Amino acid sequence: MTLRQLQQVTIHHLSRPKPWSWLLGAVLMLFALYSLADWVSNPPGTTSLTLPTLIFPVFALCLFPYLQVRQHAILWQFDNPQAALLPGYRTPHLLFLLVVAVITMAIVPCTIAALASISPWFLLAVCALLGAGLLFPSMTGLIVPFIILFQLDLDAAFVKPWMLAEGFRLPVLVAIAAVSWRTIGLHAFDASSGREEGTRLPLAFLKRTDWRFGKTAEEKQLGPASRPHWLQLAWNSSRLDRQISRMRNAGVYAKVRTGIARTSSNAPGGALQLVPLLAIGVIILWRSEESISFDQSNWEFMTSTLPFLTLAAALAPAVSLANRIPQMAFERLLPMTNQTFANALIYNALRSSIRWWLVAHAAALAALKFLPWEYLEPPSQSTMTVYVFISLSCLLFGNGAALIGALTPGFFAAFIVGAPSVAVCVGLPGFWSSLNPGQSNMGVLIAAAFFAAVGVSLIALARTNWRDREFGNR
Amino acid sequence: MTPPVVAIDALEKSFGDYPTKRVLRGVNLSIPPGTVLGLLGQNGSGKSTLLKCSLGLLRPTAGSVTVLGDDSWNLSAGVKARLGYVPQEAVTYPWMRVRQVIAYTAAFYPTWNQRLVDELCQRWRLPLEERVGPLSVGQLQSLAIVLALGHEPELLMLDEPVAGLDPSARREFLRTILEIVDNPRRTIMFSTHITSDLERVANRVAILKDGRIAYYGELDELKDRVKRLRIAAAHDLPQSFKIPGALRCEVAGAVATVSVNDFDEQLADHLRTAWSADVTVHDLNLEEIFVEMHAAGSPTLAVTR
Repeated sequence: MTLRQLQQVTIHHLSRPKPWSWLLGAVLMLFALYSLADWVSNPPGTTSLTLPTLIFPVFALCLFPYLQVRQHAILWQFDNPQAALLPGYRTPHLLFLLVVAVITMAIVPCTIAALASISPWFLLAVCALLGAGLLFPSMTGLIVPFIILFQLDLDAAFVKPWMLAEGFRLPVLVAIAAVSWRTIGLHAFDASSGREEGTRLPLAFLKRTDWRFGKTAEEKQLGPASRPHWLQLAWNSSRLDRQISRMRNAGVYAKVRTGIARTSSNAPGGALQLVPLLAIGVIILWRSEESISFDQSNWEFMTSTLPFLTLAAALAPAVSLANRIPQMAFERLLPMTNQTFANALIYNALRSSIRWWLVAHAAALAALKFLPWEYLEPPSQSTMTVYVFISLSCLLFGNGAALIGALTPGFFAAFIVGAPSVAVCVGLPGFWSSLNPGQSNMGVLIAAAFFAAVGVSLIALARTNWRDREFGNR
Repeated sequence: MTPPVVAIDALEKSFGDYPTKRVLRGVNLSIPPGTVLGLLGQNGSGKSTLLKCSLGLLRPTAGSVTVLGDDSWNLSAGVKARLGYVPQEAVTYPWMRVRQVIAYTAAFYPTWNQRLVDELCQRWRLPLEERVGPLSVGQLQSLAIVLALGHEPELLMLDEPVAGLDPSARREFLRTILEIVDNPRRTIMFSTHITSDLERVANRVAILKDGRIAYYGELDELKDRVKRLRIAAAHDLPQSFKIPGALRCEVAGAVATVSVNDFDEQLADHLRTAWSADVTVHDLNLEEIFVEMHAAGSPTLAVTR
């Protein structure tokens, strides 16, 4: 490896504006959100560096090397044979990634730990675990870290000894950090090998078309493959493809609209993946029974966990639509008006969202059955009603924002534009709960109604924009 | 004896577990230095797969490929530095400027010839200060070709390199290839559907059919072997008229048109005598040969060189 190579690789990475702007945006957004939470949960005039305010920016920072590894491994290495054939490609790229990883997942956590007077091994282990977990993009791999972080806030008595790495906890944290770093290292090493085949880690997801510019050699040879992704489960593309194809073959073009609208979602399958997530929530809540007041704990669980289900339900169909854009260039030429086509798309997206929301919440309620009810006060009917009202308004708002976001280029556009819905979904119920769990709900109901109205307007705008979208341009 | 630049031995490549699709079925090729090999085949015949296996981008299911002395699946940095590749669909970094991509690629090659790159960029009017993302398909392909040629590789593999180029860019590209061919140490493998291009630059041809090499040898030899005969007999020819091993045979009354894959003058003399016929021999260009070879029911050429 030469200095010139290192210099060029650094320019190569730093000249990409997107990851840096994401990083900055994520840190700012999370700081703002949790500063608000911190302000709400601590009396004015006091200073408190609460755990979430520490961990979330760190978490956002540790996302960055993950994104780098993934983007470069999947898009720019596997899909770019010229990169795969560059002599000495691996070493300078790995070195760059190592430097970024050390800064974001070692130096930054250690600095924050020193400022907060907690053990650096705690933050090192948490960051490394999150970084490693995010390398495996499954529902569980992605959501569990979020839930753990949220639940850590609930279970202060349990977490505190870990934060200070007392007793046996230190070697456990060191082991977690070591195993996680090894996984990250192996992934980076394999990902920079330039090979689609023969890697040591389960990198099957690297071959997925939705994370690539084009199909893999195998997909090209074996024909169209389904593109499984947890966010796509609400919209079963291959099933829709089959249905349209069947109708086209039968010459029943007029029924294509119904075909798009009738394509059922795979929400139950997606909800199954939520089970481990809910189980973790329940276990942590159980552990925390002595540290928080029992009469609020189930509500804490709902306000910290369930909004993620709402968020997933709001974003999933929009992301699926964004993935479907290349096919839409052909579908929109089917004999139906553009308005009919757009109506079918939006209708199906909303229907999928609501199904996902219903099934996920049914699963969550089933999980709540396992709580120690003898200590807990079940939520009152009015609390449940208010929650449902807030959640559905967030669903509408998130749907509208994500459906508009999905129109912009890029796979993560729905997330970026849908960011306000994240804040609303996650922040509003918790904010309300923190302020006045037992008081009048009128204020929050008005706010929810406002969000619902904005959501409906956004959906209407999305419908117009999807109708008028250009297809066929690169 | 000079060792071959590329030695492919009983190469097989399958995709999928169940059902398995066998794309390459026992390919054997030995390409000596200085060869300009044109790879021909129908869509899906396995040309791209063969090139990717040769470059170590795909792992052979069975058999082996040796490139410049290295096993293709484990190419050393030294061998990679002697390779150039232009894929069917050029992919490069859209956020970088053309100049930056060139500088980035140059950093990895000790033998980078910046003068040649500057000249090619000028010749193909590549906008050095523009970002790669908005470039047209043709410009992107031109950039990929520049990047593949910049280090003056000993072995250049091109997978349908001119598919996205306009006629003038294609002409420029062929001119460049012809200049490169001047170096006797340089070996080129390229696949294309444009047989006229191939005829201009290739000295050898490999024709892939159903995952196997149907013909591999000198282009001129192929043209000498495959001919079209027009047989005009004194009387009507029977519908059962045929010549063993013929690629195609059409009979209309007293006239038969036959494409044969192993022509020699003795065959023509024999037909003249046996059928009291006037036999005229027509040369075929590569495209016609390709079409004849892929006609329904046509046999594989008898000899693979």
